[in-house]
Formats: sequence, structure tokens, C-alpha cells
Amino acid sequence: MTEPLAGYNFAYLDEQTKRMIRRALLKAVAIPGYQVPFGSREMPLPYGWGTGGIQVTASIIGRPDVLKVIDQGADDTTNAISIRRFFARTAGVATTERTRDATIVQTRHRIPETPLAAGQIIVYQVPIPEPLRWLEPRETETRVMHALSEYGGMYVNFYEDIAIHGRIATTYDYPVLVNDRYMMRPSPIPKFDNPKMDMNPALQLFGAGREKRIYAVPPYTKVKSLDFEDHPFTVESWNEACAICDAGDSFLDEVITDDQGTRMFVCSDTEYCRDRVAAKAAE
Amino acid sequence: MSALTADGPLPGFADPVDDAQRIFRKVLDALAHPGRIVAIDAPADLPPGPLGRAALGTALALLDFETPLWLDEAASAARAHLRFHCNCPKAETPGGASFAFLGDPAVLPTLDSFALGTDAYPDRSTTLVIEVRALADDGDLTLSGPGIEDRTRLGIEGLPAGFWAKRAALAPLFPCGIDLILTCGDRLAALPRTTRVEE
Amino acid sequence: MYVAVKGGEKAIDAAHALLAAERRGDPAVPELSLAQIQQQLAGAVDRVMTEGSIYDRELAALAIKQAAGDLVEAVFLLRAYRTTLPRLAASEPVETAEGLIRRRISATFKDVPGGQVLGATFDYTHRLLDFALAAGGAPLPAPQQVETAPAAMPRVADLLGRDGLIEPPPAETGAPPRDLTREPLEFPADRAVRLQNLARGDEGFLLAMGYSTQRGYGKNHPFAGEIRVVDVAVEIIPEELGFAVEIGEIRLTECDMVNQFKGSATQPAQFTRGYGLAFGHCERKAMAMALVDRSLRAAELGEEITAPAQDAEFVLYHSDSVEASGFTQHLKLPHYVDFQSELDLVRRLRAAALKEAAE
Repeated sequence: MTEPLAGYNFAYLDEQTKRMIRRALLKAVAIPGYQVPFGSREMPLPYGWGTGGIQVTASIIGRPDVLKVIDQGADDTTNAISIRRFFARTAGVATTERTRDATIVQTRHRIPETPLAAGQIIVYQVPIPEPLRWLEPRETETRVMHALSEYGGMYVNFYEDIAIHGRIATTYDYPVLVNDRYMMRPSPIPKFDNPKMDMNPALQLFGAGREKRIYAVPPYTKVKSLDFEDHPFTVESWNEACAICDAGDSFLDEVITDDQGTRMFVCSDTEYCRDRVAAKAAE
Repeated sequence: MSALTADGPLPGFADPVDDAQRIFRKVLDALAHPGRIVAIDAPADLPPGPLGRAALGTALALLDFETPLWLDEAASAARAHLRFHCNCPKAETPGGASFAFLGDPAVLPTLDSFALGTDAYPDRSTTLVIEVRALADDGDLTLSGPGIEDRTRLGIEGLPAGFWAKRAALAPLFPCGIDLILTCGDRLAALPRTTRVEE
Repeated sequence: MYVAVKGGEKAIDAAHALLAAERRGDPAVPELSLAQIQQQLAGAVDRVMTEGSIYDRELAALAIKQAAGDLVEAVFLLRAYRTTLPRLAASEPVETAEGLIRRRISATFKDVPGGQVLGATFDYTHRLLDFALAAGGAPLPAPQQVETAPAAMPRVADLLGRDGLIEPPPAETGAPPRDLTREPLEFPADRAVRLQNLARGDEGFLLAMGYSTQRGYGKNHPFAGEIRVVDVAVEIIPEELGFAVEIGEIRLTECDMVNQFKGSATQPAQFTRGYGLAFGHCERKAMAMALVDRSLRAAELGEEITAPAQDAEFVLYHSDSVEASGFTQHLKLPHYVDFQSELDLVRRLRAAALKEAAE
């Protein structure tokens, strides 16, 4: 464990900022899916690069915690490394690439394939928290729509997709209804990951730094992806399995391997892939 | 007897950074798993009055100059201590309170005299911390809702008769509502407004 | 056999080293000092202080050096540093009517009490590149006698106000303004919050918004009532003392715009106000801010809202360069998982369309 950076408070944020964010988190957990406004601070990483997730993690993390950070499902993408280093420098906490060993998982755009357990906390980095934003740019309007549960416009939007394309054309950041009340954006995870959110035993926290909103899904909470009876929600599928570990049940990245356009598909979740390879080798 | 002794005020957290973080995580854990009872181990010193360690620890961890605080008469003995450590302003009415600490639940104000939030900003509601006579992980109450896999049980002694019926009467106002933290000495449980309680 | 590329950590370290080398440039060339930046690039320093929301010339100079002259990046550095600073006290409102005047002009009157003081300005220079500057070592200009303020230099807006010709300044409510650096923006945003947002806002964005109002996107009919560059005292009242103590001095640029008059059957016509304020000498910013401030008062003044510069949500949500730069540049982050989902969909749609065409 590295020693935290001298001259800065534990996990960088001052105590008053942490208290403000902690209070917001408690309200978020009490009102699942509702976006709580909070006084987001400028962080040493740019807005848009995970400052919301970082502020949430910085407010909850303690010395005994073990932190995993992933981006696009991988631990070693550049921004995941950058964020993990930030916490190693400012909090001195232990970090890991193993989901099972983590007490806090901070993520951008994926939920780990390894199921989360009760007691774990997953922190999502959110660019645009407002599910109705593409229908209505004004915050003054969307806040009223949430207050009145006025979500018809989103269903109309999806129905138009079906009329034009024959299917719902949203594939990531797919809106959900939480606890049968608030419409929520899960962050740009592929719709493949949406089912993992429903009745998950872990606590799910969402931070949008630039837009200054925090929201939460408590453990064991109903999360339902929007759909129609005659056009039920479906997830992505591939004709191939992972070229490395042969998984047929994980989200696959497409990799172009030569200038003829040859492509192969590999697990986006690098830990999951590695574990499967190791398990096979052990057989 | 005053919290401000001849030698100065009683200390707050021995380690303000770690203690506040640890206690916050306990409160978060309790709120995310309604009915779960957690143990609060700080602060070491308690000011006079009925509020126990769990209530005091919650206050020191969460209150500051932005959170108007309402105390009932029993809990008022802790006012000077909290003012010194948290610099929290005094709420003139329960409805103006960000947090309300109640040391004598027998004389609880009506729940809707506290802030319930608004439909546009349901987060702007009072969090109630009530010191009760007993808290047990089994008992008359059956809880369900977000945070609970199916059902769980909880036993509470000391709340006035009709309390749960009055709380249930607020349910149709969701998302507005009251979030409860129940403390008993060192122990704490939390019931967000989403938890259904059956007696 | 494809092997997933690892080594992101090493790549980042190498990138940092390369950046440091490029920032330094040719080692044979003398290194820039903070003093040089503060003294000879004051325009950059003033802008970075204003948008970074900290009055500290040395810190701003450091940020500019570290950012290799990229001013938006420098503003970001200052803002992030600001987050770590404890809040010690709130000052009394500064009094721009007092203090040492560096420059003071008014377009609304030929002459005003105290006179038109040009001060140091680019205004009447001919924009001809001066190659003598390139050679350096030019003889220092003869020291200028800075005029001390004459007995009275009242604000032009106050002079108009004496005759009731301009709306009075907003009434003092005594309530402290919401602090935008601690609380999120909420709508409807009152004028104090809007002005904070504009003061920190990107100069380029505000300039474009202000310019649009001059070209018919909304109508302000502005006149520059007064622009003053003034060194003012910053005072706090410590609780233990109970009286004001000066803790320092800052330079401010203030712009009072005199705008489209408004009147009704019950209220005789008066000019309306727009206000701009910036750290250091930042006239373009203060003027643009005043134009946009006035434009955002459209609802309050009963004007029809037709133009982007009148739209509070549009202006206030997009004025911050740190937010805008962060989100625009975040597109560089890997998005291949989301792209994969879209690719999958587009392939299916195309396959379905081609199949249908074949039938």
C-alpha cells in the first residue's frame, strides 16, 4: 500500500465536501433512481472523464477498502489506470483487478461479468444523467416530468423507432424504470448489462460530476428496461464466442486484426476472460 | 451540567477523517439494507442527555454549517456540543430542519410537521434520528421494499402508539416522505421512506 | 494468435515524459520564469485568474507555464487547485467607486466629472506587427506618471440615476448570494447566481453571445456607460474585532452598460442596466458579460424571449470552459463498447433492409 500524497486530505476531497456528498448519497438511496443535485467540485481530472464517479468513491472510501477500477470492462485502459492511480496517490488504498476481492468497483460503461455480492458497492461514472434529455433539453421541464411521472414521451420515441426501423434503436445507456417509479439512465453500459441491475445484491451508486447529480439503486431493487408487450426488451448476441476463452455468455469486443478487415471477437471484461482461461488450464 | 466543562467542550471524533468515513459507511449500509442493525463505535465521549453514541456519531459525521438542526427538548442538552463541533445552525421549526434528533419519542411532533420534500425536489426532506428504548433484529415489525431481498423483521420499543400507521399515511405522497434513523445506545437501524412496515 | 495489448501504465508514463519535454521545448532556450509571465503576459494572467476564480497572479502564471500557454487548460488547473483551498472568510463587497483608477471611459457623454482617463489600452494602437519587439532589448518606454484619482470620479450610472433616468441598482436584500462554487446551478437562477456564472464563464463564448445581441438576436441597444479599471481594497470584518480590516488589494475591470429603456403607463421610461466584472484588466470580458447579463434579464423586464443569449439555461449551462472542454474532449476516451452495440444494430438494420430489397 502506497503512502497517500502529502499535503492533501485523505482521498483528496476536503471533509466538508465529503459530508455534502455523503448526505446526497443517503437521500439518493432513500429515493431510488431520483437524481439528487449536489455541489460537484472541480477535480484534478477533467469533467467528462469520471469526476462524478471519483467524487462518489472519494466520499465513501476508507483505508480498509479494496478498489477495482474498470473502463470498457478492462482494468488497464488508460483512464481506468489514471483513476486507480489517483486513489492510490490520494488515499493509499489497496487496489485489485479481481472483482471478488473488491469492496468498491468504480466503472465506466460496463458492469463486470463476475456477479457482485452483497456488501459490495459499484460506482458508475455517468456523462448525462437525465433520461429525458434527448427529448427535452431543458432541466426546468425534465424536473417537472419526473415529479409528475410524465414518461410517455420516451415510449413514443421508442415506438417511432419501431415504426421506422422495426426495432428499438437504443443499444446502450438504455433507460430503465426503478422501483416502479423513476425513469433512470444506467450510464452508457450496453443494454446487454441492463439485466444485471435488477435485484442486484450490491449497492449501485451513480455520479455525474459535470451535470452535478447523484443517484442510487439500493440492493434488491426492481430495475426494468423500457419495452412494449409486443416488442420486449432483448440484449445483444454474437454468432461467435470469445476467441481467447470461448465464452458464449459475455459481452464481446470486435478487434480488427489486419488491413484486410479480418476481425475477431474477445471478451470486453478482461478479468472474466483471464479467469476462464486460467480455469481451463487448471482442468 | 453543561457539555462545556470547565476545561472546555467534550472532544468529538478522535480521528475526524476516519471516524466520519467509517460511521457514514455504517449509516449507508443500514439505509441500503433497512432493518439491519449496525454498531457505531465513536465518539468516545458523550454529552449529557438521552442521545447515545449511535445518534451522536451520526450527527458528528453528517452535520455542518449547511444543515439546520432541530432538537426536541430531551435532546437539547446536546445542542452546545453539536454547535461547537458541527457549527450547525438551529432550525426554528421542525419543517426547516435538515436533520432532527429526538431524545423522547413519546412527545414526537407529527411527522408532517417535518420537511417532506417536494415532488420536484423530494431530497429536501428532514432526516429524523430517534433514540428508542430497544432495537432488536427480531420482533413485531415485518419490513419489505428496496434493500430487502424478500422480508426482514425488526423489533423497536419506545415509539408512540400509532406511529407506523401515521408513517404509512405518508406513503401515497411518495416521492416526498421522511427517512428514519433509529438509534439505541451504540446501535443503529435505518428505514428510508421506501420501506413498507407491517405490524 | 491475438494477444490483448497491455502496458497502459507504461504508455501513460511515457506520455507524461514526452509532454514535459515538449512543454520545455529546446533546452538551449532560456526557461520561462513565473515573473516573466506575470509581468509580460499580464493579459493571459488576468484572463486565467478571472475564469479560474482565484485572484493570485503567481498561481495563474504557474498554471499558464504548466499548461504551455493553453489558457483553457490553465483555467482548469487553477479551478482544481481552488477546490483544495479552505474557505477562511467572506469579504465585504468591494467598492469600485473608490480606489485607484487605472482607466475610466464613458461613451455616453463627451465629458464626465473626473474626465476620460484613457490609461493603458490597445484601443488606439494600429495593429501593425512591431518587429522591433521581435529583436528584443528595445529601450524601456519613459516611465509614465500614473494619474492619481482626482477628488471625485462618480459612476456615470449613478449620475443618470440621480435624475431617475436609469433603473436603480437591485435592492439590497441582506441575504447572502448562493455560492455557485459550492452548490449546483438551479433554475430559475437569480441575477446574483447568473452574474457569478458569467464572471467565471469562457470569454470566447460570452463574446459570441454578446455579439449576437448586437446583431439582432435579441435587442439591447447598449451604450457603454462606463468602463473602469480600478485597484480596490478587499476587506473582512473579523468577528473578534467587529470592524473592517484590509487584507489586500485587487485590480478589477467593471463595465456598466446603459441599455434599452423601458416604460409603461404606470412607470415612466428609464434606461436599464447590464453589468460586467472581471479580475485584472479584462475589458472585452467585462463588456461581453454586461451585454449577456442584460440579455438574460429579458424575462424580468417583460421582453419576448427569442434569442439564444436570452435563454438562461442555454447560456448558463454552456458558459463554463472547464465543463465544455472536459466533455468535448472526453470523446477521446475509449467508447468501443458502446460503439460495438451501435455497430451490431447498424449491421442488423442493413441486413434487414437488404433482405427486404431482395424480396
